[in-house]
Amino acid sequence: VRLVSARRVFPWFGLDIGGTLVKLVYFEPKDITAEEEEEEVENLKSIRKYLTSNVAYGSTGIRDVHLELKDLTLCGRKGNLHFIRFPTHDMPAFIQMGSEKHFSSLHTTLCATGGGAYKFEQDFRTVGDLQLCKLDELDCLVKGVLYIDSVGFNGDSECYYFENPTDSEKCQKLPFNLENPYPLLLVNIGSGVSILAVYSKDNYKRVTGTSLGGGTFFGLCCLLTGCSTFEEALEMASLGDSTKVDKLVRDIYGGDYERFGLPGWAVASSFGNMMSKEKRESVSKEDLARATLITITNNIGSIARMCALNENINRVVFVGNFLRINTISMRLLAYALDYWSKGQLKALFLEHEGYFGAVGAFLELLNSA
Amino acid sequence: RSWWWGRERRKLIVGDVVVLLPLLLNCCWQRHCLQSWAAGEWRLLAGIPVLKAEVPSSIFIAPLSFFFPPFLAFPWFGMDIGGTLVKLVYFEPKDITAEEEQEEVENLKSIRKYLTSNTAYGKTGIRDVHLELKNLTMCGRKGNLHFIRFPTSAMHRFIQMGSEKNFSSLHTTLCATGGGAYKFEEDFRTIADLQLHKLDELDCLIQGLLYVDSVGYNGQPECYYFENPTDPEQCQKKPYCLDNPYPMLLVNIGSGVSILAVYSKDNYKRVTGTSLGGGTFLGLCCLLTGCETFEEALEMAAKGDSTNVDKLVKDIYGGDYERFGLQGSAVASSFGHMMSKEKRDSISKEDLARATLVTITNNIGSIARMCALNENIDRVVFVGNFLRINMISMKVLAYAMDYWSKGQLKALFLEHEGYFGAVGALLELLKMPENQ
Repeated sequence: VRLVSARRVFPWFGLDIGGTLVKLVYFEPKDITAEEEEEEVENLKSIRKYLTSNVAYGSTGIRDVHLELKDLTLCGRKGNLHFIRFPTHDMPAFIQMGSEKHFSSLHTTLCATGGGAYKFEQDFRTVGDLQLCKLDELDCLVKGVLYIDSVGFNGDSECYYFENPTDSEKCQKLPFNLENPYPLLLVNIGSGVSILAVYSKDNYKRVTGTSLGGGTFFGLCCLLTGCSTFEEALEMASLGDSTKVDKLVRDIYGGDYERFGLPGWAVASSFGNMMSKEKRESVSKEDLARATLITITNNIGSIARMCALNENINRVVFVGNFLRINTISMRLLAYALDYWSKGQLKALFLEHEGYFGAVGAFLELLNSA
Repeated sequence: RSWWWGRERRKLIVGDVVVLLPLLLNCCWQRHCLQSWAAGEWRLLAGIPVLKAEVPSSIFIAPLSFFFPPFLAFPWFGMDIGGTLVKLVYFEPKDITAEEEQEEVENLKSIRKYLTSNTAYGKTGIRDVHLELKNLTMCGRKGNLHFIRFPTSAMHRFIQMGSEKNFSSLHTTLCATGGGAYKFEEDFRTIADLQLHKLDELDCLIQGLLYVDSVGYNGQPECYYFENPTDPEQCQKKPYCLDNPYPMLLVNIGSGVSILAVYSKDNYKRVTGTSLGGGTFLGLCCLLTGCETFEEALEMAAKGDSTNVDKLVKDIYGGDYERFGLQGSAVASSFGHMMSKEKRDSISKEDLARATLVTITNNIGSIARMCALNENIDRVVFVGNFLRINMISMKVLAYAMDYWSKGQLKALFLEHEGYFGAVGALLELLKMPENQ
């Protein structure tokens, strides 16, 4: 039996194994004394150096350097928090690497959340000789959001909103103070979508979800346009015109549907023009990518709006990696929420988008000290 | 009008005052007279308004005719011009007397014969014979109600035909609803010289639905539900009595979707809608599978397996997500497997069609459920042509409503699916005498 010291054994990780991406947060201690360094086990040192001196790992791992949180103090230690992601598809390779580098000999606890914490639990044990501490993804999400917002983003605000979202010249990203966050509606857009109503730090409920999420956008885009990465799909979408693909209210009414306040430019039937062979032949891949993005985004916005109405909450925070480098969707959500609620609802966003689950798992590691 | 003259003369010769009284109440003629007065078709003869007709005997009949309203001119149509399909209901009178027939104008007769002796019109028009309502009594006339549909893309051809057949000379009112009533209004006027009477599509939907449910379906119930929807052997279609329909949530799935909360015959509100409707299913299917018609798309879907395309909870969790009650078989991310090239290469067009159908259907079901919860309504009626010959979607909706609400909500369906708007428009036509 090993005596448990007051401080947590390094390395400190938080892992969120999602449907599409694995999110990893790693705490790099910057206050290591000369003594500590001397006693540091070889493989622990090599892990630290490997993670912090690279921004890409293997062929698919990426460290989001711009998101690094500097000079954090956690559990009495000072250091930087790093944000790393790789496709869940490469999970077996990750576990293999853990095994080869004898990660298990470090006797650290590996806190993991997301569906993969359950799905890969056995593989971690049998291949990597590692016992995962499994945590619920929504618990971790809520805790992660509250923590990151409280420490801020290297002095800047973590939370922001868009003013004039549809005006390409006047659109501004402005900071939002989330100090009194409750109640808030949290919409997590990953492969799929979960919508939570958060009433206090320890009191939240999962209101509903939808299976039409980031994975749907990405999957449909790959099928319709032949693209193979999320970045490609977004780039195509930025060049396309969805109104050629969608059937708008004015295509059916010849103008607005005034009786029920539906403007002519609103989409009546997504992809509705595509039943016509003529129209199918006249649209580009970019138009299709744009239409897919708009359709999925608007659907999420619509469902979020209904939940906000039902739950009597007027602040809706959108997180998840669907929004990574996806300004089109963020601005569309901002506009749609404002327009359809006649200004009652506000769409908010957070800089660390898809990493909150991993941060929450990381916090749980420190809690259990 | 010449037909009317003959009938009226006969009644006067009989001298049956009692028969004249109901006619007095028919404001339609009064309105017509006022309009024709304004149009200068009358003149005063010794202070009495007299029609400037060429038949001499009209001098005697005309003054009285100003006060004795006739009856609503045939043909009786109701039209719903939607985003994808035009729905037409036509009332075929079966109580035409020998005299009426004799006086019937030629083009009216040819319309009647054309519509009732064919089940297909041109390349794309179809009469749903199985939906025909027999022996209906409407506005004092007995007849059959026919249900006809054709693509909205053939609308110009339809208007052209109306022009060629001199439909405008019949002086009937054409009641039309749906977006197309607004979009094509001018074309109707300029090409076919027809003034549409435009009606709101949701008003018509509700009135049409209540009417058809009240008259029943040739003795059978119009409304039904599914028992054991996911068990292919035990699944049964069962009648449902909609005698006390309020409140109900009405989900109209056409090209797009509208969701209405109906509290009474005249009190309803549009709760919300979604643009992911029948048009999305058909459009995406055409793109993903190369199919061209709704029927083809459904046929492919019937043979496919959507779980090859969708990422399920068990694909992410390795089983159920127990904490929040999500079964392993639930879809976590629609089309979520399609980001992998390997998986894209391993699925079939049928799988894609099925996944598209299931995705759109489940999304509608989910939104409907949220509305039902919010509005505190436990009966959800699904209508619209997305459900035509679409048993898969109906069963998915039936199951989803029941499962996700833990048995609190019931999904209901109606046999005349997408025709209620058109029926509502027809009913509005028949109300016209009252609208004075």
